[in-house]
Amino acid sequence: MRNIGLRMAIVIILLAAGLYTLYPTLRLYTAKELSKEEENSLMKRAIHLGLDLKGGMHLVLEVDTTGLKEKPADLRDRALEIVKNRIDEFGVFEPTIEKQGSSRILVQLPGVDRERALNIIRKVAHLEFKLVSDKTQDVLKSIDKYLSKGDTMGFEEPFSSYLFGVEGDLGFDVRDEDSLKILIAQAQEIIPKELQFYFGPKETYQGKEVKRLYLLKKEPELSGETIRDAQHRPYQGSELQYTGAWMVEIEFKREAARLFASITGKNVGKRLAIVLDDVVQSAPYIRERIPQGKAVITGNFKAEEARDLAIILRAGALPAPLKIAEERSVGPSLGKDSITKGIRASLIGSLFVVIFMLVYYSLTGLVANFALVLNVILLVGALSAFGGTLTMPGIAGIALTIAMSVDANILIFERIREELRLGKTVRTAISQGFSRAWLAIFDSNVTTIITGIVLYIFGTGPIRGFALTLIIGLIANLICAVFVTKTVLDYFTHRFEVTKLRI
Amino acid sequence: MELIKNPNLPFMSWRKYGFIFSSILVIISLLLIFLKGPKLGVDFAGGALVWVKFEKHLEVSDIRNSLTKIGQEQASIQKLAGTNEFVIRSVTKVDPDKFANDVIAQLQKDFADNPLDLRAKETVEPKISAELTRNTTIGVLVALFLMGIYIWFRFDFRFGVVSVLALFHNILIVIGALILTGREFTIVIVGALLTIVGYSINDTIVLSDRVRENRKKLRGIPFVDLINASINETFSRTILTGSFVIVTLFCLLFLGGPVIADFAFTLILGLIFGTYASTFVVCALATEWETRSPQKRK
Repeated sequence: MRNIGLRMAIVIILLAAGLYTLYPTLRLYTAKELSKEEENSLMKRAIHLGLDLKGGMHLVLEVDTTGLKEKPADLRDRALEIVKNRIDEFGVFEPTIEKQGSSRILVQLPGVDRERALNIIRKVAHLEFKLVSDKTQDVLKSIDKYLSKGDTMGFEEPFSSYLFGVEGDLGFDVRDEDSLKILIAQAQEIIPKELQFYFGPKETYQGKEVKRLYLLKKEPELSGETIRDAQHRPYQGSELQYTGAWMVEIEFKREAARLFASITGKNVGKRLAIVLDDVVQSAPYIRERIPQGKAVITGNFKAEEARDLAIILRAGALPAPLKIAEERSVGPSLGKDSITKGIRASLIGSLFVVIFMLVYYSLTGLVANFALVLNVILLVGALSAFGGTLTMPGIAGIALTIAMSVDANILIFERIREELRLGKTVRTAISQGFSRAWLAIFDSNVTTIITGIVLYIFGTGPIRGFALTLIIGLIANLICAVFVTKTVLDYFTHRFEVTKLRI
Repeated sequence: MELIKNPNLPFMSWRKYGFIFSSILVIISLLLIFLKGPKLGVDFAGGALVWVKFEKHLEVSDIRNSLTKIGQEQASIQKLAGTNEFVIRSVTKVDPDKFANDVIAQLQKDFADNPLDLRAKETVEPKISAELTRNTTIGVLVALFLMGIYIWFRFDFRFGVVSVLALFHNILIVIGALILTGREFTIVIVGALLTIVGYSINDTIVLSDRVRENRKKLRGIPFVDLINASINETFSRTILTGSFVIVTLFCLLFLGGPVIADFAFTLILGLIFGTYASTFVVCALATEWETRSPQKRK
């Protein structure tokens, strides 16, 4: 074997390359204290943990096109851009957002607060500015009159009796919401065509859960597509009810700013309602013409709510509501359990195998164990280098790779034993053993790689992780279990003139 | 060290018992599949799964009472042994997302003094699950077909056919066992089934490789002896590898946590039946085929 030095060099290069690609992963997950910068740079080169290990959510969103004329794919593409922008601003590390089929969007967010993420993604965020009708009192009176017609009990305010004052607005108890809606529907024909009732968000007033009621002009004065920027800030105005709350400051694009100035100029003294997804957030009085194209949305927002609202407004409104077609969320606690248990189980399993190989094949088993360890290093290193993701089934995939790697060495060693039994010399036995076992090892790895590829093509989520791990593992296996083992055995048998092989 | 030295067992003379054994298992499995049917998980049936962990002790009945208030007394509730964790599955397929959210909200409300940790939540619309079922079925069939072709190409037509038959036999029995133990069919279980396919075919190939080699070496000996010799020669390896893999899998089963337990259980069953099927059943079928219509030796 003339080129044994060269082959040995290749083995050493493989080992070094494996360790080099593995290092960021080891450092990232074992180091106690890391600076933010170092952590970020390590994360780019380290293996990623799947949602099942890290916690997080996998969502398939479907664009709800009922009643819309546009093509689902067009709506989907617009929605995708908006979801992307919103998530970017939300600041999730390495989100996956991609198209699926003609009307679906796949979103994967590792390690996020589920509720908040859902709120941001799902909010349609259709913002409109609508004038509050100054005929509210008249309309209420005529509704009462209309509804009480023919009422012999002398009950004269079937509608207004539900209402009471809430800080200068009309409000009602949320428990009466359904009854009110029915009455509004019954009185629909006498409500002026250009007006419509809207509710505010749920709030607590004097110990009761209430909502405000507004009568607004149907036609919006301005809508949210015209927003250039939105920022959340602590409330600085003079109204006591908002003390300590947060607000969102919005800035319009040029055209809209001019329009807004003219609207506010024409309607001084009136109220302009800010309607988000058909819910009136606030309805401030217009005190003067606002020329700078700025407006403020007040409401009893907490800092986080105001921040999320600003994100949604900046990113724009969704063209159509999104429906969750599929959700898989794993809480961070389960993820943590899974990874500790999964890795411990795999380690113990491998330890058994390593000890058994050593006992059963003595020194030769040691060579096999070296190949096995190198196999795992190369596998994890390759996964890190390709930006692969380790999932729970992926850990199982590693376990299976170990099994296949051990199988390859057992096949080879059993062959070598057979050859030795036939009285061949050590070197010939090794060489023949490898060449005889090679075909079986090659065929069996290739067929399993075929299963892996099929699984990768047809599988989803965790199964893909398993398939990818398996494919890379088996390729590493073909290199390690055959080439590396043979090189090391050849090296030692030549170097030390071994005449009797302990196998 | 060497545990199994030169075994010389007449495997093929036992093939009649093998056929009886396999037939009984396959028939039972088929009966289970058609009469009882597999318990489909959320992935394939559509629906919702909510997995919660409570800080303090609760019983299934407490959860059931709470769910009754929102009209979900039909939901399946499973308490994970030795924990305060519950897995709640919907039995209705209508709006899984709403089901899951309602359940979480109701539990938070009813057990306000017993903090709840949402371990996992899965909701799948029936339309999506139907697509997944279709894709998975195609995937499994394509994998089996490709393997059959590969073996045909690398070995011979007969081994290709009987290997695929043995795989079906193996998968049927594992599915039967899963139904019998009341385990759910999830996408992860399908992954396990395909892994079994990979492992079994690996076994078959090692053996077929030996038959291929012995056919050239031991010209003129009867087919039965050729097969027996090949099984015996690879027997040591079959048992060794099998035990290694099973040790690893038992570690995953007992130490890997609940997420991986069903996966490992399926793999263990598959490994046991797979080893039997890929060596014994494949050879027995090939031998039967050969005795009925002998192939011309080249």
